[in-house]
Amino acid sequence: MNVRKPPVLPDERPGIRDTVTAVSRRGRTIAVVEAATWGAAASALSPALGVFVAVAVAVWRWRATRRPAIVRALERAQPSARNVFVTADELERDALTVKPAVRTRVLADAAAIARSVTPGDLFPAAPIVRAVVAGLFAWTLATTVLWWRTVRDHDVPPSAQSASAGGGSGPSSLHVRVAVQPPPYTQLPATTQVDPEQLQAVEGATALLTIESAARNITLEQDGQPRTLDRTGGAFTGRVELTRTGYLLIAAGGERRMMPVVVAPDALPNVRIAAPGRDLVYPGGNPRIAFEARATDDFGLRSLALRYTIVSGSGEQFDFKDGEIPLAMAPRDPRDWSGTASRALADFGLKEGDMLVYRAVAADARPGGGTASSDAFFIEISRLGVAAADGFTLPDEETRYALSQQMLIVKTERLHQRRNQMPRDELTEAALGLAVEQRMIRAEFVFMLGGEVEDEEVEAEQSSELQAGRLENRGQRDVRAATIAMSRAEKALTGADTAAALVAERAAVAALQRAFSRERYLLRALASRTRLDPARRLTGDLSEASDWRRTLAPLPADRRTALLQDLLRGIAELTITGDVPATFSQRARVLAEEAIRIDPAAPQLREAATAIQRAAADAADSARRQAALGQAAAAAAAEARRSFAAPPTAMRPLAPALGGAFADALNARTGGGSR
Amino acid sequence: MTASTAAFATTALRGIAVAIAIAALIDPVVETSGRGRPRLAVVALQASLAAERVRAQLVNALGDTHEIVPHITSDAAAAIVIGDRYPDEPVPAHLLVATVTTADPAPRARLVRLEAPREIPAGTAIRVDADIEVLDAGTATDLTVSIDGLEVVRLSHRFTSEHERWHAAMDVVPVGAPPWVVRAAVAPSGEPGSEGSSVAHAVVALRRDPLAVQVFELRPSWATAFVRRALESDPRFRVESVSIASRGVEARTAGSVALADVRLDTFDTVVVGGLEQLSAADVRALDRFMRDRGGAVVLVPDARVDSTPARGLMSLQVTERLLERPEKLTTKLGAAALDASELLLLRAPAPGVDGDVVATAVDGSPVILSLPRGRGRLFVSGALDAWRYRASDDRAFDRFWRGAIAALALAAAPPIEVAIAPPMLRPLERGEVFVQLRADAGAALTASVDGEPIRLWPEPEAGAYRGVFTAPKSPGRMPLEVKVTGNRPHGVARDLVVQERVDALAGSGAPLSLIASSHRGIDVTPERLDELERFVRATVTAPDVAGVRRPMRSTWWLLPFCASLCAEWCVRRRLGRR
Repeated sequence: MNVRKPPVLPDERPGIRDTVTAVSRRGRTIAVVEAATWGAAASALSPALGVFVAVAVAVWRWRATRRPAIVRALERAQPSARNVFVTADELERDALTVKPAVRTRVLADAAAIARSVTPGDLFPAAPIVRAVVAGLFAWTLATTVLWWRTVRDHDVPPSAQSASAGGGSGPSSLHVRVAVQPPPYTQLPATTQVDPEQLQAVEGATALLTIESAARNITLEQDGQPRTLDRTGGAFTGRVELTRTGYLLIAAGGERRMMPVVVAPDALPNVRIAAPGRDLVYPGGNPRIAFEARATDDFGLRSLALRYTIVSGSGEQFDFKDGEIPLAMAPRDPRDWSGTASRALADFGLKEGDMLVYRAVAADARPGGGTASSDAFFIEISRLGVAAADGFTLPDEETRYALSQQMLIVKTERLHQRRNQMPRDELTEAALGLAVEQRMIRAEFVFMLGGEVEDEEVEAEQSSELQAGRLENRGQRDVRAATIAMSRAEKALTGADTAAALVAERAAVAALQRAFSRERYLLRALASRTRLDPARRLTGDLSEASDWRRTLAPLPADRRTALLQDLLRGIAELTITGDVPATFSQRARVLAEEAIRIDPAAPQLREAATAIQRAAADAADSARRQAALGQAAAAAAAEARRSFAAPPTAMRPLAPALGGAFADALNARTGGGSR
Repeated sequence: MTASTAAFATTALRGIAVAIAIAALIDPVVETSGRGRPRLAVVALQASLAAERVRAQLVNALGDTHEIVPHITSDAAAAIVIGDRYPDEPVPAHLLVATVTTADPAPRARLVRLEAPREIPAGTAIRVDADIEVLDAGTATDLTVSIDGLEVVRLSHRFTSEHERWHAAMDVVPVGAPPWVVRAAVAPSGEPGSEGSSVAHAVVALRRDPLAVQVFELRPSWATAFVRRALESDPRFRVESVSIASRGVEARTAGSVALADVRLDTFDTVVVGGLEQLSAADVRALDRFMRDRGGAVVLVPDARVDSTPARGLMSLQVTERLLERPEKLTTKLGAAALDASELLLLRAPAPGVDGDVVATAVDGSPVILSLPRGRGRLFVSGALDAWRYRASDDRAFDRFWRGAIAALALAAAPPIEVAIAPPMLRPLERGEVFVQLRADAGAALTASVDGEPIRLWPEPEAGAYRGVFTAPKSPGRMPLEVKVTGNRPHGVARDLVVQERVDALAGSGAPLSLIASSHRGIDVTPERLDELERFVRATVTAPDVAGVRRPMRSTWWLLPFCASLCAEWCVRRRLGRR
């Protein structure tokens, strides 16, 4: 059926061009937006991929916005046009030569049909919607994959995890919040730390651990004692008592976190008697004695008391009676207390020969009480006075030496009186004889006492010859003073200076009497191992004396040194390893645990362990990991240096045979010997 | 061509061919004389860019007048050696040699000395001594020591004057498996990039056998007893002891031997106390132990020594000094400081035999001496009552005696002493092994490196042998074994360290210029090659060459011979002749 076409006006010719332009503009806008959206979706995987996808989509879509493509699209959109758009396009491009009337007619038809076509028909917005949906899906997937991958990892058996875990070099999903509550008596505030490298606390503090992890189970190991933590709400919690320096090791699935724990002990109170602060001897009467005791503590005191013991009796019959003198307390602050008291001597009911031993005792505020006492002093009733009281109960051996020293004084006094009448040579010879005598007395003392000992406990562990229990006290210092005075006397006698020798000799006697006085002997701690029985000396049967075989006890293996060597070797291997970050991190964490297990109380090892763990966390950053390993190496080497034996003395090497031969030749020419 | 002309040409061509044939048969000799091109060896010792550049410049400058060869040949007129150190290979004594020293510019800080013990017992720190020198005042340097790739010590020092030298002593812990390669590097502070500006290596081996010590307490003596206890509590020592408690009563360990027993030679060190009990026979035994065995004898008196035999053994002038209070002795050689109040001041009877002064009193008088005695040592302690203060200063008494006796035991001659020079080798580098037998009683000696036998040659000194070997081509640690067969077979194994980079101390070894001095040449730097060129042109003249030539032996004569005959044949054919 023929349909009359609408009339076409000459001024409608440009209509198709406008239509094409409008459609092209929309198409290009759609292309740009769609390309950007697809690029954003692809960038969820990789930003570079996003750029590539955006450019690709833009180029692909851009091709459809060119004029020939739009003309073909118009034809497809209006099948009834029957190729009129293509013909109009060719006419406009002068690709087709026709009569003007035909040209006018074709253009008019094309313009008329084009008016019924909208740009949205050719370039709908649906591709943009699809791209937006895809982008949203991709980004949702990317942001949630880390979470459900972690969940999936923890669903696999632990054995499978250990092969692939190790913390890796990525961000850790294990976070630890530690709230440290010091003991209440310290009145210190609680502290909270997140992912601490090291914990520091006062002895007796409590640490509450809150661990955030996606793992199903978490194991907390404290100083080698593991336990499993329970999940409370969204996190695992655990409470540990911090009583000694050690470590905490948290194992959550494949991740491990080690924390050295440094516990500062609560020191015992420091107690002293400020007054009288010395030994007192009274011949009788009823003097009034003022006592003052002071005590300090690092966190706080709970009590301070003045306690005494009255010793009465003689010989083997002694009675002991304990008591306490109430103090008038005047605390300056909770950590510094002082107390005073005043008593008349008669208040104690002391008789002739009795002795009162007193000391101050303080306890700090810790539960159970950390108790310390001051030096003990005595008050004695003795009509003979101070001088007569000394020395009369000395054991036989010591008395003999003291008397020998006294005899030497007598001899020296005699020589000193005769010195002006004696020839110089005779005086010198006599003085030298006394010097030899003095030296023998001193040697007997030194030999009997086993030398001057600084650390008696250490010595007692190694020396069975020494009398056990001679703790360092004032008596010990008196013995040293006596031997020093004897040396001074010997030197003076060698120079025939009898006056100076007398002074030194008397000082030696005074020191000996102080050292072995009855009071000091009673106050000395009794031997816990062997007690010498002087009565048995020189009473054995000589015929029973025979050779014997010494058998040395095998030395214990030096495990600590071996472990430190292994630690250093491990750090060296980590320093040069070419492992991937995940493997490196796993090895480093194992080494960090080894370091802290060697000796958690050693600060250098704690530092080494912390540094190695830091290297594990920075496994992907080569510079930071090497710096951390260097720090660990320095700390471990410093600790190992203390365990290793000192290097041998650096002797000069000998020229083989020549050095000795040269010395022999020179010796043969000049001779040698003592002078 | 006319017939006459053709006939003449034919005759002439034939004559030429015949003449050539006759001359060839005669083979005449022609003597020539003149000047030839001198052969000049231009040798680059190290394959470096700088050396190759210098060599190229010399070839360009002298190649027109000299015949340049890359190696020293027997007919070379002279040689130019380019490098930074004296060559390993020998140079003919008659050869004129000039040198071009291409040493790197002197670093601002350099290591000039690095010393470490040759071996240490297990569980012992390594004492490393290093000397560093700088060019400029105010330079701050970092000295790092690493073992097995791990930095174990880092020290910093600021120098205050030019060419100042700083001595650094460090105790480092060994890392990894022995032998330990100690690497010391010095660089200006804050210049991590120049970390390798001066690097040196040292090798420290592990002493596997315990340090064997025999203690003789000829009477009860605290001084000796506490020395013995210090050693017995250290697992590095194997201590045997004989303690004479009274006449005919003694306590001894299972492995102890008498002084006169030849098995005493199995010990490295003998400690003797109660010196006044020493008999003349005892002194002779101790003297033999030092001189023949090469061992060390330690005398620990606790009183003035008055007995004649003991004084004879000491051979020292002794003065007793008693102090009111103990004084801290000034120790040297890295020994721990002792306290003592009763001193024997020791003085050698003549200068030159002082040995090592290990400790002195406050006024500098020697108190503890180590003296050479034959191949061994005599160590005398005049700190009579140091044992009384053994607990002070973190048990310095124990540390002193352990360190001193360990050093003495390590210095005692082992049954087989093996030394390798250099201690570290590069792949395929030539090394030498020195073997010293303590007792050379005609024993058969074998040695091998990595299974390859080494031929050992006897040296002039009795019991000394020397061998040369080549390091394997691959880096690593190779076993070097020396075995003695005979009545008492025994052997020693060492690990040989071969690695690609072996840094020598700055300034160590002979300089390259030395070879120029000894071979009539000059030494120049790469900037003064024109001076070298003038020297070579003036000194290395072209030799007079008296030549003998046989011109007819040249194959080129075949060409005119054949040409003449061919031309003659052509002419004849054109004339229609046959």
